[in-house]
Amino acid sequence: MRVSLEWLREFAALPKNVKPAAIAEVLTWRGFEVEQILVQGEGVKGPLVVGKVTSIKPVVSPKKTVRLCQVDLGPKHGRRQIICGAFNFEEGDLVVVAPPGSVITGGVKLSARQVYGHTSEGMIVSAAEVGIGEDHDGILVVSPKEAKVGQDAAPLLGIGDVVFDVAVMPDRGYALSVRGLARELAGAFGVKFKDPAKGRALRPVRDGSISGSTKNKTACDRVVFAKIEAFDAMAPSPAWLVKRLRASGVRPLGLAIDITNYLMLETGQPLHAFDASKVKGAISVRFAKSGEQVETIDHTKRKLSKDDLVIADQKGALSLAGLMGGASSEISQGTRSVVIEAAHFDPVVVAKSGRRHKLSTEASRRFERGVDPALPNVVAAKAVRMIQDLSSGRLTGVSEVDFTKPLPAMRFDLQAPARTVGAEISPAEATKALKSVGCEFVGSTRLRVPTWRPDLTESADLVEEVVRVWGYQRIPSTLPKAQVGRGLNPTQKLRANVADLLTRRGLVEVLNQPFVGEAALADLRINSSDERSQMLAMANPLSEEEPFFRSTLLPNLVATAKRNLNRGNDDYGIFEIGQVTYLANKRERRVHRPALTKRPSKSEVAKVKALLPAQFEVCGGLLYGLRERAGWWGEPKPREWVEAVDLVRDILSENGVSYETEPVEVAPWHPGRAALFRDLATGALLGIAGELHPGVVKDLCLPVGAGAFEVNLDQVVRSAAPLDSVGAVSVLPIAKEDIALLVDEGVSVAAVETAIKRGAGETLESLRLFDVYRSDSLGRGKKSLAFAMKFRPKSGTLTAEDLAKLRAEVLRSAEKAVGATLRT
Amino acid sequence: MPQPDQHRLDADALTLEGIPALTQDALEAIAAAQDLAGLAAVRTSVDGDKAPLARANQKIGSLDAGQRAAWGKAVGAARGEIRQALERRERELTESFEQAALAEAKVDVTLPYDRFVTGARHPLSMLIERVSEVFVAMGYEVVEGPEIEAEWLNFDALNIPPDHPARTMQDTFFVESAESGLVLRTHTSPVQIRTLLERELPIYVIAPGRVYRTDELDATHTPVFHQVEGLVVDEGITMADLKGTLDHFAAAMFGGQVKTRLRPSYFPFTEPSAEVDVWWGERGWVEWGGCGMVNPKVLRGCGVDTDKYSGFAFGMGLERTLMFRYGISDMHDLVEGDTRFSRAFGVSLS
Repeated sequence: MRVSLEWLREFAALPKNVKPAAIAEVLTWRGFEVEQILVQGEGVKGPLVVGKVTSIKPVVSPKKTVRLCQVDLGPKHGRRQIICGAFNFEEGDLVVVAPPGSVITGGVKLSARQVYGHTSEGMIVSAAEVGIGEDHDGILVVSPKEAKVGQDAAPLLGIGDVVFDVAVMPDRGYALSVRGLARELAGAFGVKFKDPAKGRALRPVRDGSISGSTKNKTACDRVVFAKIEAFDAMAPSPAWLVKRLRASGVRPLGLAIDITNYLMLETGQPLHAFDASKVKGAISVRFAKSGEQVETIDHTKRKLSKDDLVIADQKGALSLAGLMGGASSEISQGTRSVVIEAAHFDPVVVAKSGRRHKLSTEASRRFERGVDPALPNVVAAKAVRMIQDLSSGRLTGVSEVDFTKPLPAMRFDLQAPARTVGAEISPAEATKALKSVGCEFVGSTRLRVPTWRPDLTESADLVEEVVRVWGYQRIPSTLPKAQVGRGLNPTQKLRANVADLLTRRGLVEVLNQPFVGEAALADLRINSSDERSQMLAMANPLSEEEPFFRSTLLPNLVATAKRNLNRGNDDYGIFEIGQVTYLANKRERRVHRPALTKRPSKSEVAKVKALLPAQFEVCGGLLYGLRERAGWWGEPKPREWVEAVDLVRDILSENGVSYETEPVEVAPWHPGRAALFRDLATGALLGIAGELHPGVVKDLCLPVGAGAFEVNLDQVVRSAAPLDSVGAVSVLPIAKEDIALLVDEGVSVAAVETAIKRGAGETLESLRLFDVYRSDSLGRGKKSLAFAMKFRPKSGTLTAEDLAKLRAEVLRSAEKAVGATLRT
Repeated sequence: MPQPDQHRLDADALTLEGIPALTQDALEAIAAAQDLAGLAAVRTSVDGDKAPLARANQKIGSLDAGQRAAWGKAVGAARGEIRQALERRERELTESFEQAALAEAKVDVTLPYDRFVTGARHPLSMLIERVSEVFVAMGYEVVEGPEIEAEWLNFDALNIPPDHPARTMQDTFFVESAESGLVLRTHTSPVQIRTLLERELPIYVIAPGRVYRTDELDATHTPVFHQVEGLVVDEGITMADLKGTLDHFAAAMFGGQVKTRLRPSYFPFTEPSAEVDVWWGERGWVEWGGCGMVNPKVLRGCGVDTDKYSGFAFGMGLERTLMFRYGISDMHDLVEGDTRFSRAFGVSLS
């Protein structure tokens, strides 16, 4: 809401010398953040002089026709001839002239110059040229009633007026008005407030010229229609009104409309003016009929729904209630009779309609936030009087329906503010504060909230009012007593552990935005049979290309990797920890909305949550670039696919997960170089790691041999076995034995290891593969796996015979399990 | 058998009188040795088994008693002297050899050795950890919720009814359709409701996490950002407690000298509501986040006895916090995942 200081001063008797910045600060402390303090026509230094156009001669040039005007600027500035391109004035009109030497908007200093073959001494200015409006299409014409030739035009135009741009929160509809803000300022400064909405109401005039009704007492509980005949639509809006409109950023559009806008800004009550000659028969406020249409003044034909409230005549809908007038009954220059409508509409009805039609107007902003239901009649009366004063007209009909009821008085505990804040706020202070915002006490602890404050419905609302008036800046600073907390939970610790581990191993953490398109999945060769292709789409995505919430971290990681590679950051792998969702279709679709009056039952909460798709926290990484850089020490060492597998192993084993691995063929991995990790006990899927499919790498121009992994951290938490106890560290002597086993190529190392462990039993302290060897002499399709075994006895010392026995057991087990033979 | 000359012991023609000269020769040879190998050769010739004095020593036993003492004394002294000289020279040569080796091994210590790549954390993740640490130290626990959230939890239960203007204040991503009842959470506040429905009172929690609004990415906006929510519900909780907690939080984030203020604002789920501003020098007061006393409507909807309990809640933008703290001017840097950006922060926030 933009409002000029001089307008506020009319209703709040603010001290003369108070600085705009001080007023802005007071507004901020009252909850109205002043986003900007503006000065109308900032930078315009003038002089701007009222001049009378004494003659006009057209000047025809090949490009455009302009006019050579003789303008009388009075004794001080004399007569000037000025070339002007605008046509919205005639001989005898008063205009605003910036003579040579004058500084207009943008700091432009004017001088006499040759234009179209004539000397032009200055400029006849438009609103835009003096920084008070956007409109370029015509110059400013002023009324001889308000100005004299030769006078300074700046005060007339409001140049130099201070304007506050105030942010108004949605619960404070009343403050979208001079009335609301002036009341706040008067309260804060302790000065007199004059209510601009006070005045005589209209009495019903039943001569049959107007008859209004409301068909729905909830959607519209009050409406007033007033008809004025013999109206002069050509009467100009006075300068004092125009300058206030302009200061509020509202463009003048003609007297009737200007008056409705002016009163809306001043009182907060939106008004609408119809051309009465276009209204047929009785007017009513009703919901639209299905199939009904209305063309609004923005020249949009709107199909109405039966939830749209309209103002209608006998023939049909005239306007969208609380939102926008209709084109058919719009005021024009030929309008001779006017119907003024002032109403109180249900905020929700207007909000819904606005959403449906994607329409937000000055009127709807106010209705949605709550308009004072006491206002329609008095403000309509003001409109009628203004029309009569500023133009002409005869009030011929007034029709009002009013179903509003006074709000019931409510109880308020005057100790509540002190209790809520934790500071001394006396009941007397609380009472005073509430009175200052318009509450009326009926008894010492019962009060009635003002009609313009529909937001004040319970104690907490009143507490806020008291604290706001008393001063948020006075709230003390204390701490609640320290609590007995349990620290981070396993998921949070795991996340930090995993991030640390990956960082230690040279990866850089990224946080991608989780939106993807189908193309990104296709690039990774994830096809429609894959559960990761069942993604959740946004109804209103920012980009039509990326409407889905990711089902895997990999597509976004690939995009980020490519961005880095393009920027020359080619030596770091990246990782991310984030939420994904897949199998998006497997969920309940019924929307459950428990009532908000009491705690929902467990089953109700479960129904609310059943709507949600399964979401998983996943850690994913992309390995490319270098493990070691090239340097004076030697050649670079690129990252290898097996590192991806190794990282997952470490993530699992460092966090206490017992797992098994198996080969897997799944996109986007290399069919022969990917490992799947399962919980050893439950078989639950923990993650996948390996080299990316060479085709994917090629298509996406990733570095050859790039690896990738994804680990489901939620499952890692579930699979992590807490360490119960550890035995004492044994200091008995160790025995080391190496063994080389010959197996078929297809036998996995994991299978051989399992067999060795089974054969060796508990004495085996550690087992490590140290060589893989293939040669013609071993035979085709064979490989030799060499393991280092360390045996530690439970007691005593292992003898040579013991060791020989263990070796034999190991061999026998490996032979039985995987057909291994001893390599000789 | 000829009687040996009493002064000569053998064919070397060593005489008792010749021992000092022999000794002197040996000492000179030792002194002349320039390296350990040379010294080893000298040692063999002057103190080896075949050295004249060694041979002489072997034969002393065969001398008659009269001569034995004199020879024994002279040979012993000479050998002692030579061995001492050998040891001394060996020490000297070893030392100078080591000195030379060290001198030779001298390198340019400014030689770079950036052989291994080192990773880095994203500053936002580290900030979440830092914030968690600050609140865990006060006995809070850290709770979380899903990013794809029920509309009822994101709005309705927070006293934001379907047609309330506040619902349009937050530009919501709807999932599948506007009627699906599913949204990408627009704030971390639904975690308040989840917590109130799941936990016993009193409640002291923070809820950091990702949230979504339909803003296009530019220098100051991003459709995906992070917040940290705080929720306390206990007996006798006041706005002063809220102010104190936020002061402590601000000091942990921006340093002990930071100034904060609460100014009235509006959130449907808090009443009274406030905006928290931080004083940022030349830029004046800058908005840090929103807060307030939990609206009794919200508490009642979760079954909390509002006669007995009250609470406060707050929500801060973490991107904002990071941008203030580290003078980050462009949001793109926080979302693009450029490894140079994260690496500037390394593995901990200072």
